[in-house]
Amino acid sequence: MTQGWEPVADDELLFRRIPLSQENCFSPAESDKPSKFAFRPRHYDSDGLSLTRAKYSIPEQEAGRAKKKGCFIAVLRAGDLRQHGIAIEAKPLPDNIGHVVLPGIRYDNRREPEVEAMQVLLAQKLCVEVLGPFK
Amino acid sequence: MSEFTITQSPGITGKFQAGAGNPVSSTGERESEANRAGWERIINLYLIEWGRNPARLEEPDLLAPSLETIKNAGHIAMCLRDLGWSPPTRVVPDGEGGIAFELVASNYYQSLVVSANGGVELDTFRDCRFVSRVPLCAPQSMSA
Repeated sequence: MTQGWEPVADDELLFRRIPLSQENCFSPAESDKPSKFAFRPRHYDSDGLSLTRAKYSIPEQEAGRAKKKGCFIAVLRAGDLRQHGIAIEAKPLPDNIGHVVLPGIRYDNRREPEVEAMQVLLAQKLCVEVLGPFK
Repeated sequence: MSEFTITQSPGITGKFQAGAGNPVSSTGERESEANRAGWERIINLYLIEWGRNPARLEEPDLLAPSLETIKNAGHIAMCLRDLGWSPPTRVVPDGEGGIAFELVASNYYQSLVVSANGGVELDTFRDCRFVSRVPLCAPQSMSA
């Protein structure tokens, strides 16, 4: 199987960037958990919320993909997401073979109550830790 | 000193609530003072600073709140402060041009979002499950 297309194992860790310019979305002084808005799909997340497999990256490399100012990196465990009914699909990109999406959390359905609840779940319960800041 | 001036009441009637049947709007003077101080901190540390330099929130792929939205959020914050609501855990740009006040308490999670169009909504989640969405202010009822 081509690298990056293999199924995501339950024990794999996943990264989600939290831009520093989205101020306060993670602030250790306020809370040890990020805001749910760190997990809100953006306009390009038409096929699902984007994350990166830790097995294909390191935090510093993942942070380097940020377009401005730097970021924090939220860490999640694939098996935890599945236990809560959140599907994960491998979707490697030319510049990121570790790219995955959560197809149930998309830009078009981001404001649906059940999908907002998933964003709260990711932020409040399933986020294992937050690394950084990386600048 | 605040840069914002309340010119009208937004007509908000809800409350941030920390637990079931446990309204955090205080009847005790000490708690009331703590609530007020919490709001002052959010207003002074974030909203006023963002208002002075909205560009600091700009990020590719995210829509930063405009100065008008920041001012609207400031109005809302001062109204809620004066109404004695519990202060939020944090205030964040929602990434879509709005500003969200979030309250995390026990198994409750609430977000009060001041949208770019001036609308205000209060969403409540309990144990990470959706409970309610209450529109507190219609977009057309806001004034700049």
